[in-house]
Amino acid sequence: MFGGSEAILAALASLGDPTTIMLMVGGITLGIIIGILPGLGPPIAITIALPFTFYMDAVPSIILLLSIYSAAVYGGSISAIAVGIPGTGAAIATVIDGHAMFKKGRGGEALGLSLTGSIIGGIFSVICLAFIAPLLAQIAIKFGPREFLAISIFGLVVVVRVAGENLWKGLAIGGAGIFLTTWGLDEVNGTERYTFGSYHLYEGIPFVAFLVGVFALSEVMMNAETALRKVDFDKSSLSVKLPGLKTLAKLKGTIMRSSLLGTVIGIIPGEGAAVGAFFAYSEAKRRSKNPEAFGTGEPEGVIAPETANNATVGGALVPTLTLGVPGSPAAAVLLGAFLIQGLAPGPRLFAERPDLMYSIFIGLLIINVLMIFIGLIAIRFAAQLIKVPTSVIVPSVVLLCFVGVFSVSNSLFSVGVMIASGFLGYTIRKLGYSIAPLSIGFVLGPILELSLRQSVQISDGSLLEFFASPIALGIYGVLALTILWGPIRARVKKPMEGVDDA
Amino acid sequence: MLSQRVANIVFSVLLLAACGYFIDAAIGFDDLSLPGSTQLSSKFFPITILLFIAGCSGIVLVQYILDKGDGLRSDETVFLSKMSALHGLLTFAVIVGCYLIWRNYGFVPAALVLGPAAALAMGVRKPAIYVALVVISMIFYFAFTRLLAVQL
Repeated sequence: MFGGSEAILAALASLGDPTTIMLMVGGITLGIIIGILPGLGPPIAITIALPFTFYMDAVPSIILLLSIYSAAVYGGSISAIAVGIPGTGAAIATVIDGHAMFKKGRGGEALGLSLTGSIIGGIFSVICLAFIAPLLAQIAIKFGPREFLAISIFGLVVVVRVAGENLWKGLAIGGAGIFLTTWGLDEVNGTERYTFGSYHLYEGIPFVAFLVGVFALSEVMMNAETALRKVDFDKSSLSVKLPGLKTLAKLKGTIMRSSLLGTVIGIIPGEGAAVGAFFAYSEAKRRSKNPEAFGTGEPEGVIAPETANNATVGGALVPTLTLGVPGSPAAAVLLGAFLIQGLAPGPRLFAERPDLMYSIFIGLLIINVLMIFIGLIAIRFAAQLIKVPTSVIVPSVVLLCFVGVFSVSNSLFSVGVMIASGFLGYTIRKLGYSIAPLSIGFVLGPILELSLRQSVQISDGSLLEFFASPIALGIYGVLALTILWGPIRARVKKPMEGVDDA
Repeated sequence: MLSQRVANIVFSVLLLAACGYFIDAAIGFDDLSLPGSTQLSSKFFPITILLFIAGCSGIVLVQYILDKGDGLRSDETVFLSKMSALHGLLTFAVIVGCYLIWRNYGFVPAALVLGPAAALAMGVRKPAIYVALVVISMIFYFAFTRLLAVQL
């Protein structure tokens, strides 16, 4: 056990600090609001707040961002149910049955199910995180450059495979993300690389400015295109009806399965909340006694995706905290918060800052409990929020990004970088590329280069030595299986087509 | 309207050209690694990655030229309509313009212009929204400068 009771007490003291509690409440409120607003998802919610954590201590800043992350994933379900527009990608699956229930006048029931499912899924994944992360960290502490190289390659390839429909586009843009991290002074020997004579670039492309541009600015530009679209809905059924114990007992199988699925999918790098939600939805439909009712307003069709998408939060934190490999784009931004604090997520962080780790575990539990109360209040104001015109949201978010990025370094150069990366993000999204490989490549690039160079040095230039480590070999093996699994499954399935399950 | 096929072909060509330019720049990097050591030089990693990007972009280019591959969506357009293209690109122009105003005249004029100009770019013709955005800008300004002591 890392740190022991002293670390737990220190974590409790940090979490009991009034500022931390205020930040937690504020973060949940902000997360739900951003989640409700169509088009603004968890990564944007975290990136907007990221620059402001620069002035905070490690525990309050991470807790603030985790509050926003968890609440934004949940918040998306409110607009999904009420107007049929998912506030976040994670809530797309919720639209199908959630909005159908709303149209039938059962909106309160659907909102209650989504809130309950989100809380249960969130708590389940935190418990898993608290058990799995320290165990994985104990194994990962033995990792050297070769293992980290293997893990970085694994993370990147998996992200590229799941993000976007075209593998080559994903690889190209993931490579671009890695390439951009080579700008600035070479950390190993001080060589100037792509600095173009500007001292601003000596430390490389500003991390926060880049992520804010790619996630937030590109998203608001996408929203600007459809700013005149009107949202109409009947707010009469916008009150929550929490499910009773009888209902929960009936749905317990779906809840448990969705919690587990969400957590496992969250752990796999790149498989975000949206994938978890869809997976849980289709699994609930597959196991249902009346699958034909799905899509017409089936409570299971709401609780399954909502439980799973919040369960991915804790799951995504497992590789982020133990290996420094982000499990989702939102976790990649969260990783940035650690770097701002001068902390490098990875196995050593468990030994160096056990209090921070316990603060994260306990904090996430508290966040999920607080979300019940704040969620119930927020739904009352959701009608007003949903009606806020996009034409008001877009300039407000742009201004927030301007101020946030400027405040990190008091540099207009960073604001310029944010605008340039925002345009890059906007362009690639318009052309059907996914921004997930770009952002995760940008986060993993430095680890990849450093571990590659160290591995070459250790192995005295021999490539075969890269596979001398059993752990690295195991990781490459899993990677090969991951890549080959799709074609193998397709080959096995083909002869079975047309054969009934019965 | 601009099709995905044409736009992606142009983008892939630009990406290939950029790779060529950056590889050329990387070849000129100073080599400060120790002579005789097995240490990789500073240019190795960027050049490798650029060659990788160029390879992938080349495949994407061929896929779009032959119109054969997964998820190409060649028959779709980049923008939903001319108006949506105009709104998106004009908003970006406003963002750049306000950045330049900030650089030359300070934050307050940029913040005052940003809201109404962006709303105008998005096709909004309601004075009430312009006023609301100016008020929001001022609230942000005072919140950040007074409460968070950010020097704008």
